[in-house]
Amino acid sequence: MAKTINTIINNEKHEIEVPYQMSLLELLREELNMTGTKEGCGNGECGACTVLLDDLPVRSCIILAHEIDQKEVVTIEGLKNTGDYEKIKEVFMAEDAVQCGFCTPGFVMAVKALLNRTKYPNDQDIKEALGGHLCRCTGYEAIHKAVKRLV
Amino acid sequence: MFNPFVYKRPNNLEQVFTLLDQNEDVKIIAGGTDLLVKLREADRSPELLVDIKDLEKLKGIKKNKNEIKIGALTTITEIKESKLIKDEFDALYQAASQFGCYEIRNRATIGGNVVHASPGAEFGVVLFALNAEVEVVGKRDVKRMPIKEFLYDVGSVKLNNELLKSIIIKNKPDLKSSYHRISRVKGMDLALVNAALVKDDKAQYTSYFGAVARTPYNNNKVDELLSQSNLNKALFVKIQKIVDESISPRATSLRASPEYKKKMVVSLLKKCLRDIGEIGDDIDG
Repeated sequence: MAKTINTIINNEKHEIEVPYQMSLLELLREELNMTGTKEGCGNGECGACTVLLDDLPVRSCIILAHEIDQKEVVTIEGLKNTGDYEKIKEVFMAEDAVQCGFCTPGFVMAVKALLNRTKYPNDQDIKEALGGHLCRCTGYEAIHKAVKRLV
Repeated sequence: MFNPFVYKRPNNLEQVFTLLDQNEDVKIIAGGTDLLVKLREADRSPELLVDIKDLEKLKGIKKNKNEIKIGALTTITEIKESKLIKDEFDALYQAASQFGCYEIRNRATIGGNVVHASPGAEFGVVLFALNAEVEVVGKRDVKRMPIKEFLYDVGSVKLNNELLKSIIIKNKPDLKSSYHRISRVKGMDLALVNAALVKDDKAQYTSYFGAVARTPYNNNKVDELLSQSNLNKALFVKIQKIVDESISPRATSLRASPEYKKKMVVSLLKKCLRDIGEIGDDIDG
């Protein structure tokens, strides 16, 4: 069964009929073709599917599409051409904080959310923000250093 | 896609109770961080999910005279960031800080953590040690009962077409508390064993341990010894003996052996005591 939801995704209004059993991640990737958000574990453990929901970073694989009715979502696509995104991209490149890139959109969303809540994050803030994100290539040190360059 | 269900998000309690009355096969969803993971693994979904996130009456942290009331829908992030909680109940703050990861804390609720009643849940031991009470709201009334009565077995709480409304903790001056856990990795893992310790204004200790029994575990003898003795090395040898003889964590646990858990119970107890300044680094482990 499906029902219509009203939501704002990346500053754009959507009125869309969605099956009850669809996750937010599936709505983004399969209905709206926003494939920047990745599916890793599907259980909320790896962080690859992180998006902002009413400004807070959350795991889109364990949120129902219907839960975003009347709410606002920002995905990695929505960061394009913003100042923070350009800055985050630069520091990630400078520190080789990307290898295969699968986890990167999730990390970038987490960093964006961190910058939204504090202009000058300390080591502890950075660790808290990145703590729930898995990366199998770079080994975290490079990512942590990249974020430190932002401060 | 999950297995099919119908989803409803009512914005008042009356509607929730009507839905609960009219449907046999129904589950409540709040943050969804536990439920949706379970539903992904399950062969089928309940027929109806009732999302209670819009119930304002179940939200927020309030102080009334000598007690603090935490709405069941309060998120773990809200608990961690509450000055009131940090000032009065270190153990609650510490449990919130070690819970899942930032994104999960933004979604997960304290009520969900309590009603799912996992043996190693962060808040089980803390709320038992603080002798918390819960408010349960039904169609006709609001009941109040000790959490020790409410949460009575693994995954089992006393709810019958009712909702957990809030958690109430009496705040006494000079109360000290601490929470620690052992897990395979820091963050994003469940506790192998966890512990909460409270020292009240009359210097009486209460300790609870999680993931060693079906519900948070307490041993009176341990608390009495702590309250009446000098906290020295010999005392912890005695306490270890009591723990070894009185608990039998299940041998089929995926995370740790019973022997290891027994040792960790005493180790965590020491960590909690060190935390509140009752023992120093001269007592190791």
